[in-house]
Amino acid sequence: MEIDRIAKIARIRLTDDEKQHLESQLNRILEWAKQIEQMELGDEEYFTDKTNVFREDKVEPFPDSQLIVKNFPKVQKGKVIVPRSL
Amino acid sequence: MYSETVLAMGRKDLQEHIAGQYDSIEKNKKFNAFITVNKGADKPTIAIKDNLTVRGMRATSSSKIIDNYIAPYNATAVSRLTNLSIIGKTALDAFGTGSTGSNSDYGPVRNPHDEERVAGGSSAGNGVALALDMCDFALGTDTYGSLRSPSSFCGVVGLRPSYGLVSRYGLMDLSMSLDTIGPMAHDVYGVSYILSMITGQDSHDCLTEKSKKIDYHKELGIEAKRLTMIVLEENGSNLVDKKVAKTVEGAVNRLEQAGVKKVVARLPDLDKSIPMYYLGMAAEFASAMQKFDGLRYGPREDGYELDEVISKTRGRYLNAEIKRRVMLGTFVTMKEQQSKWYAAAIKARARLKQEINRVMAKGDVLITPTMPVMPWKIKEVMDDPLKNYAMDLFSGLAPIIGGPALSVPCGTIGRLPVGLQIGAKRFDELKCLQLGYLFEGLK
Repeated sequence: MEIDRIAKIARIRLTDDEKQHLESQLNRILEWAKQIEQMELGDEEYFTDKTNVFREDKVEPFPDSQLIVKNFPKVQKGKVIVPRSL
Repeated sequence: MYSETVLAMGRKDLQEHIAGQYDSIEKNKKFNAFITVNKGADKPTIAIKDNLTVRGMRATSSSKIIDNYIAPYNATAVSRLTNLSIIGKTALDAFGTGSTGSNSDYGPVRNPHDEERVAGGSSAGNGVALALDMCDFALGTDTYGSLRSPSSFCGVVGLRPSYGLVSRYGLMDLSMSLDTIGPMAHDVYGVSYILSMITGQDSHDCLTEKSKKIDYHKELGIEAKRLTMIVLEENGSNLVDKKVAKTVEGAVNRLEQAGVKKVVARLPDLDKSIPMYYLGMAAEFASAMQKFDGLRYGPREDGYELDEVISKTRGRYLNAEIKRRVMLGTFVTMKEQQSKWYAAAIKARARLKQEINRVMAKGDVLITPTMPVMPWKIKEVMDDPLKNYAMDLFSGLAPIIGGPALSVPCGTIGRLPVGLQIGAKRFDELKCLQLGYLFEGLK
């Protein structure tokens, strides 16, 4: 199992101990999950019997935007500060 | 009678009653039931699971990755509660990841009947808060047993409603194709009373369905002979503890003697529902957890570039079980693995849905144990995922078909309660509640 690659995609920095432990546990879980194969699945397709309830595409003001800003870990003049992405 | 009595209390009696609840919260801190306590309750009280938002209150979902998050809006189900006081926010397995209550970053939630044992989860704090008289009602969530498991282990009542009956707006999701919000209480009347308030279509949740408004608590009475219960041959699996099976059989016998008709059915692939769930849920959970990146809320680790900051923040603040599930979900949805794992899980879910619906067609309600085992000691389950996952044997019957399921106490083994699970077809909550109410009256 490519544990480093999975961790990179999942964006979680793991210690070496965590990597070792997780690799062993994930292998055990996948071995256990193989029992699904005994169901001899065919062409079943999962489809939902639920229906979307659409609403009018209309802008509604959110009254408490200051409460959103208060949760920002780093803020300057009401805007969230984020690390460089380019 | 508990709920009806509380709802009819005069002001003075209610004040004394609520003071007793605050005393119990203070005295029983070691059970780790509450994360936030709200002072000043003056109406019958309700506890809210901490993965649901209440405007202006902290909402941690029992995870340090949003330790200091203050919710800017109410969950729809919360905003529909009337004439109740929110007494506090309760602990859970972080983001709903567990059936024990031990996976809270604020300390393991302890069983109210034996503090060395698990309380059930993930709505563990609610179960304890009700059992130790810290609140009158509670609002929990149920993806794959999360409010029925603690109801069973703590000896209280909990209802998972049908998918689409109650809006999930304001719920921090675990697995969006299965998540529901539902009530817990001291009795069937209590859960019915809360359910009557919180149902209905919501423009903020596109999967809520237009349904006839029902006052469930006013329609609980039914003649036993009008109901047919389905029971599974050999309890559905050899994974069931023999003492639990015997207690549930005793409950079935009492219902039969009262006049409820009984039919027997087989569900041979029930055991396979557990790995099916863990593969599918992990895929949805890995996606749901992407928003917890330290950018807009929660603590943030230092770093120069975006990926570095996000990876370090998640590495530090996500606990072991969350990492395990996110890693599993990431793996099973990788392009080269998808068809072997995620697609197989989706197909298995479709097959199981057909099988369960075939069984449900034989009667009105499906009776099983809520939990196949008694609550383990907290230390026994901390690092054994497969042992934990096996607790979900009967939990999937309702979520797979999108139907409701109720857990009611049906006896004790030693000091520990056993729960009876009553499932029904989608949107047939009333049948679950009527049979549960009938059963309560037989005691």
